Amino acid sequence: MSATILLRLLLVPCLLITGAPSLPGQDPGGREGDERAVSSPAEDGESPGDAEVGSDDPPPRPRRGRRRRPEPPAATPTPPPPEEESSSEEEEDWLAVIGGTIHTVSGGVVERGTILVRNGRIHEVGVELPVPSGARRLDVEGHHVYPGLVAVNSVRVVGGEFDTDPYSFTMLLALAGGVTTARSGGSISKLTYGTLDGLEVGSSPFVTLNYSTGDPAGRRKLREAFERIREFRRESARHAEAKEEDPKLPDLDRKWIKGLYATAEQLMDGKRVGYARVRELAEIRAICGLAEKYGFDLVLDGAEEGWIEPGVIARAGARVIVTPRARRDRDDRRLAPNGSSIQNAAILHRHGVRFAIFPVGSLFAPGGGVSLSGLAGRDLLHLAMEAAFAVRGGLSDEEAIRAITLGAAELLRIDERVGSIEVGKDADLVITDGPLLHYLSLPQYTIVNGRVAYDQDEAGVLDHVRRDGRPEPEVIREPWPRRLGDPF
Amino acid sequence: MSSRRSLPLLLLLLLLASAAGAEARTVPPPRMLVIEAATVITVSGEEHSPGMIVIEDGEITLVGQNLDVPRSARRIRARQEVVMPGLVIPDSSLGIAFTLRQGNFSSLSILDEIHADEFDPEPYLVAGFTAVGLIPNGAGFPGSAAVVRPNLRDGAFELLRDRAYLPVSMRSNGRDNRAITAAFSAARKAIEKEDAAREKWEKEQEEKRKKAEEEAKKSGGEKSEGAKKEGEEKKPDPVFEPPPIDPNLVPLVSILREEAGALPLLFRIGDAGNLLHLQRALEEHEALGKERHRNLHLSPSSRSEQRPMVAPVGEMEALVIATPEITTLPSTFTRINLPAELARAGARLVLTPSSSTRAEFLRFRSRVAELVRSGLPRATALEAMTLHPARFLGLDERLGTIEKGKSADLIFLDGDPFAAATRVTRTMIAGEWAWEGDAP
Amino acid sequence: MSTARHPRLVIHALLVALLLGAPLPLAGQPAEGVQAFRVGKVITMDAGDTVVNRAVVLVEGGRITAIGRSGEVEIPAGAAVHEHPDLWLVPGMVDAHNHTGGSSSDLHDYVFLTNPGYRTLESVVTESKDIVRAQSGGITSVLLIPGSGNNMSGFGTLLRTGGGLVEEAVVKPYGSIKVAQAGNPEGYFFGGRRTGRSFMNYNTRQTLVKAKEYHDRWTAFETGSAGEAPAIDPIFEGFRGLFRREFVASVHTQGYQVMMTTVDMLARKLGIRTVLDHCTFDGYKIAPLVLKDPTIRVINGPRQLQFDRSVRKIYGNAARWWAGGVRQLGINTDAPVIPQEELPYQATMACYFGWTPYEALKGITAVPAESLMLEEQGTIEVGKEASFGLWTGDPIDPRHHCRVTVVEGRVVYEAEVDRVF
Repeated sequence: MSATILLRLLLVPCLLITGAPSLPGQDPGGREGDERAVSSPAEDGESPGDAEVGSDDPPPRPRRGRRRRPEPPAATPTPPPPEEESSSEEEEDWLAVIGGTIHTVSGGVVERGTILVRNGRIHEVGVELPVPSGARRLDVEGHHVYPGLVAVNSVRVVGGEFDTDPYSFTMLLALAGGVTTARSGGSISKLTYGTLDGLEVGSSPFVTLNYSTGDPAGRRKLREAFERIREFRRESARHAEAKEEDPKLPDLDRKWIKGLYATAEQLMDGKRVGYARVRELAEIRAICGLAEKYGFDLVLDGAEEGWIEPGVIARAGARVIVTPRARRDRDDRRLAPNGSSIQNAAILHRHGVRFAIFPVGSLFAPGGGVSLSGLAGRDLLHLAMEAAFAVRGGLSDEEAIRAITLGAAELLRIDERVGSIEVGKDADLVITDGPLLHYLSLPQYTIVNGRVAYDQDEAGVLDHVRRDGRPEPEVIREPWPRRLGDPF
Repeated sequence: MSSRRSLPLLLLLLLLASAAGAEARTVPPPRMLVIEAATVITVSGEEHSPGMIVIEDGEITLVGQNLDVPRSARRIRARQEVVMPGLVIPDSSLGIAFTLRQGNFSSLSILDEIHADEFDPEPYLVAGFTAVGLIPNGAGFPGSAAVVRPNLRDGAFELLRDRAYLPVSMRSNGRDNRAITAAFSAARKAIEKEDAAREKWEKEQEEKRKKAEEEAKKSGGEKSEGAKKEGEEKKPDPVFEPPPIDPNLVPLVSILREEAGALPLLFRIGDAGNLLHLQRALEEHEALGKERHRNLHLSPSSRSEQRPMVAPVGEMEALVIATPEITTLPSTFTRINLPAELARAGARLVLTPSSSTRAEFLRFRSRVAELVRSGLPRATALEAMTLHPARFLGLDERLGTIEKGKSADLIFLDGDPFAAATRVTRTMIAGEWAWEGDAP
Repeated sequence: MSTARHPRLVIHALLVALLLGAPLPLAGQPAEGVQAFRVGKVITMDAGDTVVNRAVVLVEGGRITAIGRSGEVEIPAGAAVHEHPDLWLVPGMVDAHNHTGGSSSDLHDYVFLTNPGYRTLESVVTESKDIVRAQSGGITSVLLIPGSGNNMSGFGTLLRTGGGLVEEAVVKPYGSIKVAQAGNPEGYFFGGRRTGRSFMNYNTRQTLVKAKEYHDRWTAFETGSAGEAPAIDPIFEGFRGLFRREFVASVHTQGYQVMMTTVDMLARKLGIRTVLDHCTFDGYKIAPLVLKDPTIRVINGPRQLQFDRSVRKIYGNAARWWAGGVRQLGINTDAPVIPQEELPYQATMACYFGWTPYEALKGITAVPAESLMLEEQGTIEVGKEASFGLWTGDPIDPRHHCRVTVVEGRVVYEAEVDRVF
């Protein structure tokens, strides 16, 4: 028996443990006996439910003197891919998520829609789609379906391809909060509870830039590196021209391009994204000025005072990781506006700045973790609630949801794969029993790569809350511990 | 009848009688032992109460009840004792100088690290362990294990088998899976390099031969005949010399090539997540998925998930070495008898002491008894301490049960092996007393 | 003419104005004149749980004088009308466990093993940064108590968040006696866990017994049954109100064994009106004991969730108390452990984990007010203090915020002018 079969055998029981959905109830519109292993657009005359591309995108911001990053693929849902050659029935794994209100994020809302997932990718989104026979079915009528949430940072939830414990309890709890992708240090991973398949998404595009006022020497070195690389690029351009005339010309020396210079070059080439933890306006101005001058992509983590001069951030084309509840008390002794604002996200949005939202954390635990210490609602278990606070500050519900899905994915440069419910993207979904931003809604299922990674009833951690929709908390009888030796 | 005629008759009668009684009264061969015990636990079949074991030249020849044995056989009276096969433990590091390594040291054998004057056989024998796999410490591939018989008399131990298996650690995600992937891919590369070199060499040899043939044709057949007549010595056939290979890759290369003498691998894991990482690290090498390498050593844990591995491990009927402990499911107070669960799911269970200390050796049987009280079938527990480890170590032809043809490695106990106050009274190895502690 | 050049003129003008009795906008005093608040909804939290839609509330002299539907309440001429037809009028919220209403360096004084005579009154800062944030969260009163580093650290002050002078802000200078039954004092005073529950409870008991004896001696003297006046002891003088049940003991207590001791020692044996704070971990198990004494109150927080290992589930603390039958149930922040302005979000979390929203809202308005014997606040009823918040919607939904906060009829916070939260 080969090792691959070993792996497959492991998959099946893991599905059982996490709850492979096998729900009764036929989809009345489905064609059960139909051998359609590969879907083609519905022939019933119904539209496949392609919603319009949302025009919620903020107005394009002017970019001066900067290299454009290659545009990501269009947000318009593409038609299903052409038939592939393999297509033996066993190779195809289908999942149908039927009957929910689908919030695609990139293309509007589909009421009572169906999502067809094939081999872990979204194959089709529409209304009353025919479901291939043999497909797993998930009946989510009355529920809301969102793209899986993306955490731009995390602590002890995932760890990269080699380091993640796929049975970690914190991973399960983060899934219970709807998170399906998280960055951890230099790697970005999916929360594939119970398997290593499809765990790895890629490496983080960030390179940390320390540009704080407390380290003037460091700042100078960074500026010099950028300046030198800029000069080198001009030189390279001239050299390339010269080389066309005289191919025997020796190449330019690149041996000095290491360390800070290599970082600067990668940034200016658009290969990496600068990441800076900044709070005060002066810091924001400084680093954004640098980004604007040398033309590199920048992510500001925090930017608590960004709301004061959002134009600075907008002009640099920088993105922000906003924590709506971050608190810096205003110092009234200073004349200029200062301090944090609950309206930070809304103001940034009005000025065309793109951002993701991240939880505030508590005295006992960081926002990127999942803590059971008791101070509730401040970490990845409640990422949606942090987004709700951005709505408090004036952001719309849709933009707030975008900031924890597609916005976060764009920030991490993984938006080709995750962040919205679109054909071709990974089937990462969170299915809640109410609108995501409402405080009584709980995730019922969290799906990663087309696999149910969290089932509220199977996991049994939060299934007792408002059981069967009953609003009254139930009386809890303490069960005796199971007797040792009794079968599980 | 006259006495003169009756004498030959008497002799005839005696002869006939002796012929008839040939079964009951054979001339006793040298060194025959007969053990008479209150109970004989064979592990291979029934338990005999009372029971008898016949041993000749250190080998068991007969087991049963009420056996007819020659009076001249040396009897060992153990009418108050229970006799069972000597316990076999596959991994111990008691008596080995503690050196913690990290990396690929597959070429090392544990024997290089054992010094006879530092190795104390007594704790093993007192606990009833008659065959012990000694294992090096460390992460990665710390070296191969060897099986010894503890020996109080001369030399501290007798080597049963060197290079019995190759332990590999997979307890730390991140460090260990990278190490395993790197080691086997280096071995794969070495194989490819050797194959490429061999191919190249063969091509060269082919070309040389062709050249030689052509030249022979040119100069005609005379020269070759003449050469024969002159008795020229024929040059020996050239042999391919493989490129030098890192000695630590040699055992891994042998494993990947599925050679006859390749060591079985033992993967030391801590939880279900480790198992997934392990399978991923091994998946590109088909040889590593074979049954002879489906051996796991499981450290007990109440903090990380182990239960998800029960079904898949049972399904592939892996051999699992576990410690006799009741653990707790993580984040709960629910206790679980994981060894019992694994056995029930289909795994081949081996039990080994919780740590390589004298105290744990002495506690071993009572810990196993706890497992038996909590749902592990008695027969499975007995096999887990005797036959299954012997099989893992490749010594089950000689060890592990009380059956005809096996070595007389036996332990005598003053009660049921799983009763509370039972102790090992004496230990026998190959028919000789290895330890006599509290003989009645 | 600029004031800089003619300062004397300005001062003269001011003095004249004062003499003429022109009303100066003095912070801290109830507003004058009639005010009318026309709002979209009033949640009264009264005995009948009345909710009035499209309502008008009249306020005069810092008190509510009328509540009713917009067509039914007559707004007197000359009244200042606040038009907020889209907002909800919700009773001012009350945080029963706050450490930030004073200066930041006055969390706790550990001078003696217990400092029962201290008063946080001396450390009140009526316009501290956290008080401002409290306003922005619709919170109109807080009980500022000392920390829990020793068993009895002094008297808490019940104060409004309206700013102004201390005398004006304070509702009850003796708002409560702060008792920390266990769970912090062990480590603080002797440093490093050198005392246990036996000592702490002895310490608490003997201090309270001494205080009670002092009170009894004075009572005897006052009623004429004793001859001489006892000596005044400033440490125990404040306790008299406690034993007359004029204010409560707010007790930092959690876990069922510790809470059992609190209920037994303070409420039962010493006859003290007890408010249980924190009440986390497995404290919910003593719900039956709490129910036996109708004056005991449970104000739970800041922990709103508890992971129960015996069943591997996350439980809401408030939901568990409610399921145990406790109906007078409140929530606190223990600010700054949870930022003060997030008192409503504590209610949000209580609901996420199983409690019901209306009761949770009551748990941060009517229940803590009543628990702290703050009769004038907590509900919107005629005659009560006009301290309330005007919200964009459900206060427990974090997407909504407080637009206007009114304390004693004065607008103390307007998001329109200066949005804080």
